[in-house]
Amino acid sequence: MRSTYFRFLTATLLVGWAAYLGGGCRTKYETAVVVPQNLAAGLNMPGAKLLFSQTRKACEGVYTVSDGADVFGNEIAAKWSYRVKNGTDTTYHLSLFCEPQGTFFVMEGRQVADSLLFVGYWRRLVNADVGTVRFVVQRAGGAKALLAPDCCQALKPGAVVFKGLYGNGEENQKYPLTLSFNRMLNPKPFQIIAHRSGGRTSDLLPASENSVEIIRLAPELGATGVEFDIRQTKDGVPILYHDDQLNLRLTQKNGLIGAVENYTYSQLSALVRLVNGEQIPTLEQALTAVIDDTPLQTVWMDSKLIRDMSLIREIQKKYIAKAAAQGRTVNMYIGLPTETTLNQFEALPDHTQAPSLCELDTAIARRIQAKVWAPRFTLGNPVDKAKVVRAQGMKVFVWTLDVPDFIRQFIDGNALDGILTNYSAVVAYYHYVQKP
Amino acid sequence: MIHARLIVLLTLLIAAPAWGQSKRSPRPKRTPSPYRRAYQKGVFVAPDSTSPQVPFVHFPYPLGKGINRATLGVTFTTSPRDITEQTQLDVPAGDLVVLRGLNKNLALTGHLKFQFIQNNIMVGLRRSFPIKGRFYGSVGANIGGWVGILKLADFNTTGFGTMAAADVALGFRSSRDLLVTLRLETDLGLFNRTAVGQTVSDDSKLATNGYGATVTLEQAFFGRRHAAIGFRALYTNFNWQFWSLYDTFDRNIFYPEVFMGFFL
Repeated sequence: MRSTYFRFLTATLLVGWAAYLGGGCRTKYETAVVVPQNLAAGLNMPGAKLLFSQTRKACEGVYTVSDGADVFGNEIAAKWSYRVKNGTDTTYHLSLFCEPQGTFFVMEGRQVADSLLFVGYWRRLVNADVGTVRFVVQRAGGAKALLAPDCCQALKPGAVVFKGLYGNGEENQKYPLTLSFNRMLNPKPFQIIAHRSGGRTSDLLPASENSVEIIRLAPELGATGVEFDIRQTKDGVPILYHDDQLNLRLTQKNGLIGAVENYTYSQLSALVRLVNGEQIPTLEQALTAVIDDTPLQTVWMDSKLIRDMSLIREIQKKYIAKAAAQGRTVNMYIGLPTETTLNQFEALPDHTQAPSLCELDTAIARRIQAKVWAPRFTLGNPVDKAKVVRAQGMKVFVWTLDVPDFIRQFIDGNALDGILTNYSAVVAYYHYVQKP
Repeated sequence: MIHARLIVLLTLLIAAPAWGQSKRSPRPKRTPSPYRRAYQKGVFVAPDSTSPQVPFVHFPYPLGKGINRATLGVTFTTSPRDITEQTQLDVPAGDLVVLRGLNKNLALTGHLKFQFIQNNIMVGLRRSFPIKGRFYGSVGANIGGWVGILKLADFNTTGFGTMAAADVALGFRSSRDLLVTLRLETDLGLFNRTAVGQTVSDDSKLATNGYGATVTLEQAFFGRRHAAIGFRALYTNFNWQFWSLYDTFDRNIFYPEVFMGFFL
């Protein structure tokens, strides 16, 4: 009998240990996918010039893929974005969005003699596949038209051909990839709102979720807007942080435990780093990055745990004015996901003037005069309700939609003004290739 | 890192009982318990004198025609942080395993895991054979599906899918009738359909979901109440229990699973 108990105990301990090893101790993700670095070095050859804005604009469009279609799909949408460093150094990126597996390219371009040269990397968002790419648009392949002083009238299909090579990982580029201009991008206004300020940490992006760095990266991933998660520190500073606890999912090992609300901002900034090494940003730092460093048009400030809604409102007003002073239109919405935040918001004396985004019922959205009604995608495509709500002057965003097939169908339903997603590149692809 | 841990873990789980056998002096013979006598008379006992004297559903031992065995228990899976992030949804599932002998070496297998709002059933065939001494082996193939309906709060979602699996197992029967089984499996996704409201998404590509390893111990763990306990390490791209979270990762995720079943 004793032997049986001994064996049972042994087995139980082993199984318990197995469960602990398997599930309990894995509290962080794999490391971020490292995209190929120093690619711009291949661009900075003697005589290389930056591209004119009209040339950049003319490169945008939907391209048909010939060589490489088996890997990157039959069509690719090309769209420019920019990122500002140190307030003055602007870098323009041409992003390509593909259908299979959330694939995107990010490239820089130069004029070299009478040709255009593009160098960059590609990555699949759903896994860790990366590689490099290099395109040339030769004079006879459309560079003549793109570089003409009066560029550009509407291009005809086939007028511009990107001939290139791509490689997998860090290997040499050896696989052909050819893109031919087909048509303009879908011009319909539509907001592609990146979740967690650009993307989740679990997607192994090179910057941590809810960091200033990922806000700067978001436009290259296809986003036209970002969603933040706002909490307040012990001393009341609004910061960007998603989870209700400090944990290894989001932060590096730091010795602090418990909620971010238990610490002052100076403690957090001194002791805590996000998983990719960034500081937890304040709401003001994040909004400054949006306005000063990116072309983002929409900010969804999700009120995760707010004690002082009037402070959030003051910051909102301040940064709407800052954007306007720079000639930018950036729609900044206070997100209201719960009854608690709704009550805090309604207690504001000027809440009907404050741009807000309501995740609750449409009747509540109307009552508080929200600018946006935002239902969860798991309720289905809200076509009928959206028609009513939009007729009343509200926009409709759904959250958080990542499944490509659903994204395609929701966009094709033409009932939405935007989608909140972890896969901006996928939403960008389906939106831009949609024929008006 | 996970792989290394798994190898160490599986080795320990297999070796520990055998080590225990070799180090300890033989237990004195005792009168078979009333339960065991009843059990030996019942339909669960294999018809030859060399068969294990404990019931089994996981152990790869040949089963006679018409013999039935079944366990009912629970299985616990931890939710992966890649998908559920800070939220841990560790809901146990009911676990029914059924085995019916078709002829000397072939058995029909059935496996139902149920959480009522989402359920998974697999049926298949298992061919078992002796290898040498106390070692036995089996190969098996299963086909089945899952179904889920989640219509509450902010969810109006439904889904179902079909899948297949193949497995090989190695069993070791100790002198004390502790049955240790190591089973390796690979899962194949055949078709999945999910719907949010009226919007439907089909995924019909034939793809290997992932693979797994299971170590099971079957013995009279609870005094004379026979039970099977085990650990399953699943490394897969799709787990039916988490279909409603719409994971879009094209990478395998580790799902540890602990299960326990009592023989019916």
